[in-house]
Amino acid sequence: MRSVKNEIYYNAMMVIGIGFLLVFSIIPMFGVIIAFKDFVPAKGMLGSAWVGLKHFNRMFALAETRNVIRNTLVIAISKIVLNIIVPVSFAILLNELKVYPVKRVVQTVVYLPHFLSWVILGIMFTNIFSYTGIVNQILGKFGVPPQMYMISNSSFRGIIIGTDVWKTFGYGAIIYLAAITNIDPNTYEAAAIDGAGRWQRIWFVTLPSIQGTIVLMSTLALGNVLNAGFDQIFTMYSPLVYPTGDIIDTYVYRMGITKMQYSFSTAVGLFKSGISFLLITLSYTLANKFADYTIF
Amino acid sequence: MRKRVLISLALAIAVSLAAVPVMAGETAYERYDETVVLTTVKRTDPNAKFPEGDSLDNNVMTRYIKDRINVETKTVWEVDSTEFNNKLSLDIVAGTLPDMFSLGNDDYLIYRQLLDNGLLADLTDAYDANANWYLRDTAASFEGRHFAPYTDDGRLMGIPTGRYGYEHNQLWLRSDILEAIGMKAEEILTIADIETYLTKAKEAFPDTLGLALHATDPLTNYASSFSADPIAQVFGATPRYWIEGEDGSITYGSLLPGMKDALTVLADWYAKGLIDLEFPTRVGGGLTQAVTTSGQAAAWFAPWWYGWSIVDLPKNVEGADVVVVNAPVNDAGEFVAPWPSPAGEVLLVNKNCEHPEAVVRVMNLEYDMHRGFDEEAAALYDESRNQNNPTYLDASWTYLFPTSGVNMEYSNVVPTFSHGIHAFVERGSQEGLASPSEVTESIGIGKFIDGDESFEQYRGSYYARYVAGEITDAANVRFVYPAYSQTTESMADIMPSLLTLEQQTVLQIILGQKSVDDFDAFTAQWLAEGGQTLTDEISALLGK
Amino acid sequence: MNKLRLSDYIILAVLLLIGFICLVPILNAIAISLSDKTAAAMGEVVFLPKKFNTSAYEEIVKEGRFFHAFGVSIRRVLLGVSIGTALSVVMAYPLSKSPRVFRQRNAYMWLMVFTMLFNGGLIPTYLVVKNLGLINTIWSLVLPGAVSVYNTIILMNFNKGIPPSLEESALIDGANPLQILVRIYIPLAKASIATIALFTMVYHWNEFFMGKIYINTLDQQPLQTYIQGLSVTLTTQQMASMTPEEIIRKLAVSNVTFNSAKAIVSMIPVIIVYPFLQRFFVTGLVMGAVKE
Repeated sequence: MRSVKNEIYYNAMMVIGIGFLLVFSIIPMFGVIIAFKDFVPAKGMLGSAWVGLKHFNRMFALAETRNVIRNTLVIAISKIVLNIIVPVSFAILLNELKVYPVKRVVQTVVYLPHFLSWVILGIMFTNIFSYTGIVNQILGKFGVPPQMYMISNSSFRGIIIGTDVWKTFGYGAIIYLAAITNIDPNTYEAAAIDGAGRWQRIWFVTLPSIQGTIVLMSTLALGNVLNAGFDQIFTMYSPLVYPTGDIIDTYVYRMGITKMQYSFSTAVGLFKSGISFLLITLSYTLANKFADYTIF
Repeated sequence: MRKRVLISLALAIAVSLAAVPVMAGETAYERYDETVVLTTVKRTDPNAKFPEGDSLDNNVMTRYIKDRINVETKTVWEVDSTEFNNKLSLDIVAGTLPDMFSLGNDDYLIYRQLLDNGLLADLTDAYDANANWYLRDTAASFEGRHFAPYTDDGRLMGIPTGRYGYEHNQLWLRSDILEAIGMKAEEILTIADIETYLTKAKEAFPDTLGLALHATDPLTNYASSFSADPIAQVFGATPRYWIEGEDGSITYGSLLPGMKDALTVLADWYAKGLIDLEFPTRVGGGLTQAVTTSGQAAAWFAPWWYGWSIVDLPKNVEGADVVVVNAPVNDAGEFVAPWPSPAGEVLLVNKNCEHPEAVVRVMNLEYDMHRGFDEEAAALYDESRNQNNPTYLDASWTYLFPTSGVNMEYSNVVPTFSHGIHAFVERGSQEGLASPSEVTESIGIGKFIDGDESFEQYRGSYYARYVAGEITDAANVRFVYPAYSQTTESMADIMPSLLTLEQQTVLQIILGQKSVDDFDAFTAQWLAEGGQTLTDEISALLGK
Repeated sequence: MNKLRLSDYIILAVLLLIGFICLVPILNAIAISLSDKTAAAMGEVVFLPKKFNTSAYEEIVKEGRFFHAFGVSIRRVLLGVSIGTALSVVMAYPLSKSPRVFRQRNAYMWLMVFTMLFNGGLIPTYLVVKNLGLINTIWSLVLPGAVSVYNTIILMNFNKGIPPSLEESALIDGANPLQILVRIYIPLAKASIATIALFTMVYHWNEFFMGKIYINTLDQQPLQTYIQGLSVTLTTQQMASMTPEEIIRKLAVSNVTFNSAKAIVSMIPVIIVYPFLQRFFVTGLVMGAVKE
């Protein structure tokens, strides 16, 4: 039922929010122009000289940038893969638990880390992985010599990936738990009558039933291939682990602000945004096509 | 009451000091008819506490400056020192640079960038016409060497401070351990003597850990606590310095052959358990310092000011005390020490600042007040100092300065002051003391030495200024000067990874994971991975 | 069916272990914060405090800055949640209409999604905030992120599930869309609105980066920004450019028991709202993520 009067109301309701987006999101987007210029603050964004793709060429020529892109891919893809495997396994395991009070307690506890900030967790994990921290104390009992995990290039990535999984697996499992709850109990009973054991029930009933959700979540995760987690790495890294831990976002921040390479860092950021944009578009197209998923 | 006595004594001396011949610029103290406001930015001091009603822009010093020359300061922002450059960067983009701000010597490239962008004021005339005698006199003690990096085409583009010398690492020993094992501090001279001391200390006190060493950087350069660089210097290597050889060529000091000798000694000591076995793990958070204050370390290398860091030792270990020596010495009996880069911090002024000369005049007044060259100002300052936490203000007075972070001193201020204190404490002579605040401190140290427990707060000053500072310019100290100490074009890109390589190699050799012979491979790799480029750049800059 | 077998016990044990692992960092931080400084630095603390003392917490109370920053964060959360939630509620309603009823709907939607996928970067955004005169005010922490496209979509999807017949009868009675939103949608969507309000709260409480960029003075700094500044590790290069006194002060500030205590206290608000969060977020999340 369309009515012009209602439409005026609808538009009026959108005005303030859209205004905020225009001011704080759309207008700054024009700033990416400095990626194609040699931005000199004294001359301003428009007055600086146009240099075309110079900064993009430099980006691909620099070994440092290539390494940052590699770090980003390794960390982000590992997180994506593990953040599907672990929550799915956990959801299945939790579904098998028959002691209901314990189930509730476990659920309460595993969702909590999702709501804690990386600033706080950064302090806590620095304690845990420090030379005198819990990890070294426990491994020491097994004769492993203590190490400085947070500043070692052989362990930093592992810590980043592991702690991220730790923080998000519980929350990520919610969606799979919901999918499992939707499974018709009769299917399980039928399987039990056929003599299926626990393992077979998981393999032949549970997993196939949540297959669609798993595929959908994997597709949607595609858009995050260049998002390795700025907040986490920013609060946990140090110059000693730049070789393995520096990602595009942290690199853009350091280049753009600390080292004042405004144009170059904008170019790197634009490169990342561009690729991410394509990937997200692709992932939603796929999700729409195969899972009938739409975000709006 | 005691405080008042101190102040009046300090004042008496200030009057006598005022007789110093003044050669100030003609308009050094000229007053403005209309109020001039200078904007500035600051690095936070987390311990700062102002008396009720006071703030960064309204305190004893800003009121004095307003009163004398009608200049006010406005702090636009203040952040943690690690965030300072980031904020400044945003100001550069937004075109909102403050009128004045300071940078460190390591920020040389930022200075170059500001200069190339035409954002800095030419200070030549402002300085010439307005610097007071103290600014000129301290600058003269560096023979103008520190002006060079901040002079462009003959024009002075910033006001640098000379980085004063004598902050090299010295060997700190535990005098109580020396006594227990029957040795005397004067006997500790050579590498072998140090080894004997460490060995006997370990035998007599099995719980101690030997020599405390820096966790990640055991062989670095000037003024870095826990770096064992004196051991490298005694063998003729100067880690981290760009050194001019006898043939005029430029070399990176960490590649010199003496490094191998030093690493041989350190690796040997580590293998014998004479070095804190867990030293590489004490990263950050003052953990190595904790080893020294908890009484576990028998020795460590640190600059004179480490005295303030060790004040808790006697609280933790009954009867523990420290002594400082110039060891190790070479065959000629010399203790070899590095001299720092000529320039320290620099004060820069925005090109759009309407009154660059006001910045210089503010600087004049800061020292007139803090050093007590103006007696009334000194009285005001002491009053405020006592309302505040005096120990805090003594440690971080530059925070109060509108031109914060810049510290004008004589090149030899460290030993001069120490000698002055010795003369005062031992003979009652005030001649060697340059200001009332120095007199106040000397009195405190004297009382502390006399065992007055209410002067316990001077323990740090005693160790630092009386014990360690005194021998910084001993006759057998020989200085090594850096050939170049600013950054170059490629340094920011190349140096971090080279530094990591160097630190890793040094650590691995000390820990015995690599043999000393692997050092040659490191040298080759260092040069191949960009070190040669840097060497060439610096050689070119120096016209070699 | 109800009898527990060995495999059930194994599952129980594994899940209990997983739950415990989720608490390890928090338990460890609590133990450290209640321990003696030296014992903590020397690594003697696991889950039980060594030489129990509360001096770290006393220091926090004494040091005014922590609670000042705490207060700034509270103000930020209050403003951020009320503005953010109001905007989402108001926008989600027209967006839940089909393009046939609200022709501009898809244009708005594309614009919103575009801002979610693409941004102009730090420096241009900084310049906008600066030119609006928001630098160093609480508004610089609240306004730039005021519109959460994600939350709006979650709420919009919920609205779509509300039967149109409810609205139609009201329309016939002559109610305008604003009245319908207030009378029909908001009461029905209470749980969803509460969910996004809580999510917004957690976001504003945990966010530290805006405080780092937009805030200039300590008295305006939010809590997470303040805490992030504490855990900064010093690089050799930074140390070289600092005066000895600065380094000593800096190291004295980065103190493991004190920092752990600050981390624990700053978690408290999240812990307080967590039970409510848990009640709401399961439905909210599932609704937003997979629409049936």
